[in-house]
Amino acid sequence: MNIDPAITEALDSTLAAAKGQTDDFKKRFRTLVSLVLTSNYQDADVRRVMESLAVTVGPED
Amino acid sequence: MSFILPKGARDFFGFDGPRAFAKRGPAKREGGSRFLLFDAYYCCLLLGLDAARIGDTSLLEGEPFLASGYPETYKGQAELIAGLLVDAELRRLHVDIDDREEVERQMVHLLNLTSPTRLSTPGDELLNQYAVTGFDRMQEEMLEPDNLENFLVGYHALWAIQSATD
Amino acid sequence: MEVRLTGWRTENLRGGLRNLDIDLGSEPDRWTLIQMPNGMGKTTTMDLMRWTLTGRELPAATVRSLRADDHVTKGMFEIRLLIDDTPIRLQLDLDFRDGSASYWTVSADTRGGGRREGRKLPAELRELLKPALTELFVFNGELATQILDLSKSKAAEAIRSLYGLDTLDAVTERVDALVAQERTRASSVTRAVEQKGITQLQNALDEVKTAKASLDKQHRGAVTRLAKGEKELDRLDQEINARLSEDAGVRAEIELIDQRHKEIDATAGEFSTQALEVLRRPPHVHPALLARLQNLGGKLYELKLPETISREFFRELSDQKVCVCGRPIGHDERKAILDGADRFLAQDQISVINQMKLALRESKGDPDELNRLISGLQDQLADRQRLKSERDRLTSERIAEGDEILARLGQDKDALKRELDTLRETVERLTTRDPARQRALRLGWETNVPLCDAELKVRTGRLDTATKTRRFALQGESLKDLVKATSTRALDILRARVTASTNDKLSQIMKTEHIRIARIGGGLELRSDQVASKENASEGQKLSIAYAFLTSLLAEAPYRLPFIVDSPAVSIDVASRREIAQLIPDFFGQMVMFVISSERAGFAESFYGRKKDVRYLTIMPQGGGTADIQYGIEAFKDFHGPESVA
Repeated sequence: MNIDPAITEALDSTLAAAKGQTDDFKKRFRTLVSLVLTSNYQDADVRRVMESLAVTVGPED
Repeated sequence: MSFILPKGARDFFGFDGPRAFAKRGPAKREGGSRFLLFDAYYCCLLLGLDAARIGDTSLLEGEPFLASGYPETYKGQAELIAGLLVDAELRRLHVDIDDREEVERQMVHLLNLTSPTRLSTPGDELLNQYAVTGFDRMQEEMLEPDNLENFLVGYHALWAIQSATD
Repeated sequence: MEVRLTGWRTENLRGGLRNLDIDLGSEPDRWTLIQMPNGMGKTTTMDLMRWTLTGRELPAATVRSLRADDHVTKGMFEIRLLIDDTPIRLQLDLDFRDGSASYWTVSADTRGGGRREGRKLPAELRELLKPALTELFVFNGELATQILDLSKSKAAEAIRSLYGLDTLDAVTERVDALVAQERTRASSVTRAVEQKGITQLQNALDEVKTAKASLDKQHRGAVTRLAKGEKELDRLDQEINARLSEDAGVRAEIELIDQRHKEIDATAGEFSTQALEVLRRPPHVHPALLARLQNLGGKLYELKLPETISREFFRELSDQKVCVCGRPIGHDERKAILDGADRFLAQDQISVINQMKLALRESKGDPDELNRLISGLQDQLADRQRLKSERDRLTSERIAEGDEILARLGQDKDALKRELDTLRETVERLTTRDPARQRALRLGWETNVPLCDAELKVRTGRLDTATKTRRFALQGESLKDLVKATSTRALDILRARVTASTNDKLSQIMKTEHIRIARIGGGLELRSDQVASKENASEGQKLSIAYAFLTSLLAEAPYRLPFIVDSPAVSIDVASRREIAQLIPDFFGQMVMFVISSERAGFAESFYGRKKDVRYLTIMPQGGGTADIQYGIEAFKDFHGPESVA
């Protein structure tokens, strides 16, 4: 199924602002969104995308 | 540019989220929903500019309440508010109004064509600092208003007895 | 891809729906008008259509409420569709005894014409048929203007539903579930040595969670009590009024006071609205401000600021071979010009000063305007105060005359007011976010919700770190943020798109006053070229706009859908109906319109002139819950329903 251009545009602008994320993550994120919109996803897909996110784990108080 | 409210201003005007005067009575009157956070800021700002006194940035809230430019209803006033800022700064810094070079330098320092507020970054920051002193004055001379009507009457009275400083 | 409605059937349902079979033909006409008197199950039919299309789970009470009589045990509703020329029938089976409901599909490819359980539709279509969207093409015409109502969010909900943005937001729950799972898993594999520390952290976290639950409960309780109390206050006022009004003379005074109070509120509202508008313009706030602005402007002219020659002029000049005065520009001259150029202002600096100068010169303010408005406002407030005293006087007179009930009511009212004030203080203590206030009231995470939330975050973070799930939790937050940002941005883009296409349509049809949608917030905000914010469109205009919006929205769906509408024009006058009837038939593809006989005038009549593509049905009650169906325009015209004008 084709993704509506509005979603694509939204993805482009959101990912452009997501500094420090790898291309791998960005690709997975786009794929996830597309799967979600067609109700064609499971928890494992979400987990995989989460795991490819770059985060800084700062010191805890 | 980022407008930042003085600490305590939200409480003074009884803001509950976007709705003003919400805390002290039933939600019947709709005056609260017409009065914006920016209106509160603006009322403080005018008082501070009038007194030509700036306050400390530590008395501002942590985050801006409005990010880029004036709300719709204030867009036409940008140049005038910029004008009031220039006037206040010239007074505060005791610039001789006939010193052409100095006046020009101040204006160049404060203004910026490309900004939606027509102000440079230092200019924008000064607005917030003027709002701090304006709010101080408001707190000293007015009771916390219950509703828009009482606020308008009280605020107007403040200006009636305003002392023009020069 | 196209969906068309070819008919439906009811069995053993109440209203006029005991045994109804509506046939729109295997190649349905573009427009179908069904005249169906009120009470014949129109609303039920629309509901059944929506439920069957969306596959809604029906509570037992709802199922039983459809029962035709005590003798029938089962019932059925069937909707017949053409999906890209393939006939398909969706059925809703109802068992009235156990209150259960099930959905079935009969399609051409089922062997032996049998049926399969469930709604077997193409996946894309099934995704589309969610409640928020289905409500818009199986449409209750009386709700059309609700689309315009900003306080209800049907317009934005419809867009979100149509484009699946709601499914995106559901990812949030999956993320939270995954993080929770991870925490559970991690805590179960921790070594005994670490376990003690972790147990302590877990206990600390549970402590805050318990506190949070308690605070939330307190908050809810206070808010509920506050709402009830305010209602109670109103009721007491009414009782006091009633009591006072028992005396006819006093009643007249009270009515006068109430009337006057309403007027004062309205006038005060007017004054304060206008005063706020004036206040928002600095030159009008006080003559001193106006004077300063004008003086500054004057000074700029006097000082000849800004000068008109810009830095850019000199820079460009330095590139020339010959100066404007005619002399050649060599290396030394160029250097001198560039050095001197810096003394001049850049072009954009000149522009901004000029802009300001212009604004200052044009600034004017009528100092009396604000004074007048505030003075008027004060008068109103004083009047209001006087009225209150009047009312109090009436009350105390009666009490003095020995009216004990009135005295008690007054005391109850005072006590209630005090209680409400205390409650408001409680709510403030529970909810204030202002650090200064929190310090002043000596609040901590045990007593204040925002502080409790913050503490919850801190302790969760510590536990996560100890159990090494911190990273995963942060990844979860980050993903949620990105999904939300995407969904929000997409909604903005889609809103703009639907606005533009609706406005296109409107510009074609609204020739006299150009009303447009300014933006789609919760509902639709209008503007016209005559006023910036159009709040008072006529009923006919509002309906046209709502239908134009629906068309634009539905046109974006991957399937063309039929537009089934109940009472498209019942609540507007005949002239507006004609207006609507001219416009909306061409908006949609297949349209099925339920009308009552009183809607013929102005609306249905407008179809009579079309020679083809219109089908007319008239459904007439026969008694015993059955109905007779007549096809054709003559029966349609002749029918006298209970609502038709005699």
